[in-house]
Amino acid sequence: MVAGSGAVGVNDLVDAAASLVREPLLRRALLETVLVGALGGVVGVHVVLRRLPFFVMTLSHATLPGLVVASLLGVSLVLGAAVAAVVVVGVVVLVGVAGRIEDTSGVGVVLTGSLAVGTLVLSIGQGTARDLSAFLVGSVVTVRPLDVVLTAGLGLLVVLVLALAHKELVLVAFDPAAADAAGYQRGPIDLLLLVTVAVTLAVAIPAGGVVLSVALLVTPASAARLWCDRVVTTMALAATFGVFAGVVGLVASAAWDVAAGAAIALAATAVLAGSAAIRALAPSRGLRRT
Amino acid sequence: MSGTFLAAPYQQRALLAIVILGVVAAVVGVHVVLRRMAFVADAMSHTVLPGVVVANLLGGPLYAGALVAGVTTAMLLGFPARARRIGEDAAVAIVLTSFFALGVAIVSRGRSFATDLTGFLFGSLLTVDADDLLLMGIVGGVAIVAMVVFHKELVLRAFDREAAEAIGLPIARLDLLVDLAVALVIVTALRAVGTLLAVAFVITPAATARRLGLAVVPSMLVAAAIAALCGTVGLAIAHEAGMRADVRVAPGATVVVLLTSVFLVVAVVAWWRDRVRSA
Repeated sequence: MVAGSGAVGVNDLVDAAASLVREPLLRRALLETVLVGALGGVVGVHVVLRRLPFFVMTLSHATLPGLVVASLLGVSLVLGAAVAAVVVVGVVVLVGVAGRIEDTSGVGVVLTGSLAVGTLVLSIGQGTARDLSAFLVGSVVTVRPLDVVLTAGLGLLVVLVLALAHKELVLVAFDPAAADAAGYQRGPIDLLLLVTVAVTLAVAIPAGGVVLSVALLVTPASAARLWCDRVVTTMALAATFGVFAGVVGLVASAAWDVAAGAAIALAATAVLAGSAAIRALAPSRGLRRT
Repeated sequence: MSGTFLAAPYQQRALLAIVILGVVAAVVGVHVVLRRMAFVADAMSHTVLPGVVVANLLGGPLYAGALVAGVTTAMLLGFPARARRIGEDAAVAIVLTSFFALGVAIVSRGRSFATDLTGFLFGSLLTVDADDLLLMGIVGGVAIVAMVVFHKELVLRAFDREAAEAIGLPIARLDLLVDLAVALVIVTALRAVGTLLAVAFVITPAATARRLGLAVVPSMLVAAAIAALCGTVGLAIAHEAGMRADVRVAPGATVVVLLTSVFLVVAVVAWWRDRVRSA
């Protein structure tokens, strides 16, 4: 019985993998997952280096009102998420300019407040539980062709920006004092990073959802950090992990009928857990301590 | 106007639920805000999901599932990030998304995926019954008693960690106590406003009271009062919108939007006051 169900499980996986390539709708989902996985891995390295996970969490929850309004108006969810995320970045920068963001409770208020505003607007607009859960956990199989094009275009732009500003971003991340001494303006560099993170989240959220997109931006990068020291190699590995988790998650989702966003996030966690276990069992002599 | 909306017993129960939650969350929330644990509280609100989902599958009480998952998270987050190369905030985010994803994966196998999920995450304020209220009172009561018994130690640790260490207080265990109390608040909130909006009751009124520059205990009292006030007004708004304008408005979300608005007003006023003073 157990062996039988195991065999069925494997057959399901093979069937699911084949259907991902065969059926146009799933092929689009696969393409979107690969793009978002790679982008999340690359940008995620900066998120992890600069200790931005809480910011990412807040930003992604704060996009819910934008998603709700976009869906009520019938425009692209990427657009709604992007507008909301950029507004939040603006607010964070304003508050930062005003001087006091050492208090994290304000960020927490924004996070839950946005969730409430999103659900409230949705309830007034006669939205359903289906809509709400799709926003929260994503819906990669209903991603529109336009969303995929936007993901590819904006993703390329983000990677280009990160490549051009690479030296400055890394310097600020590892040695802010040296960046100041070298005469760099940290404000614009930080803003640039926050905007790229916001754009990345906006393209990831229709597929990954408000909560689970955070996993795409944190988990593969954290796993890659266990293996690499140099930033560029970490990014390459994180992108690989992101794509791998995306494809494995999508196949598992199609085979076992679980939500795709959840399966992808769990696959990413599995990559991290596997990496941590291997590193713990076989400590490398060459690895520098941080 | 409020006379009419409180006539229905289900509205009375909803208001009582908000008041119980408001008081419990205020007492715990001030400690959370004092030691800047907002992220941990938020993580907890996501990580209880698999516990709730499994309890639902097994037909057991949702509270018990949430409690088990909450305590597990508190224990996990209590350990300092083992691997140095994974920052503590990244570790919290990873635990949060993994647990949440596990819950979603399990619930998504079911037939009524979307309704179940949003029910767990956002509760159902108007269907709270007497048994729910009793459980809320008991679970919340435990959290309050824990905070009252260790009040002096918790406050010292929050304001002066070195001093607390110097006199030999167990810092890690005190932090775990607050984490566990947060788990209890989320369990308290589960049926009424769901796990996600529970954090708003923990953080927002307490952060508002702190912005007013109040001491610890007055902060708790004011935070509870803010929650009760916003609860009453929010329920009234949702009721009137449904009755008069025939607009369906989510009551729990309305209350949280009000809490957030009060915070924003107070935060702006406090910021302006500080500027005037320092100028």
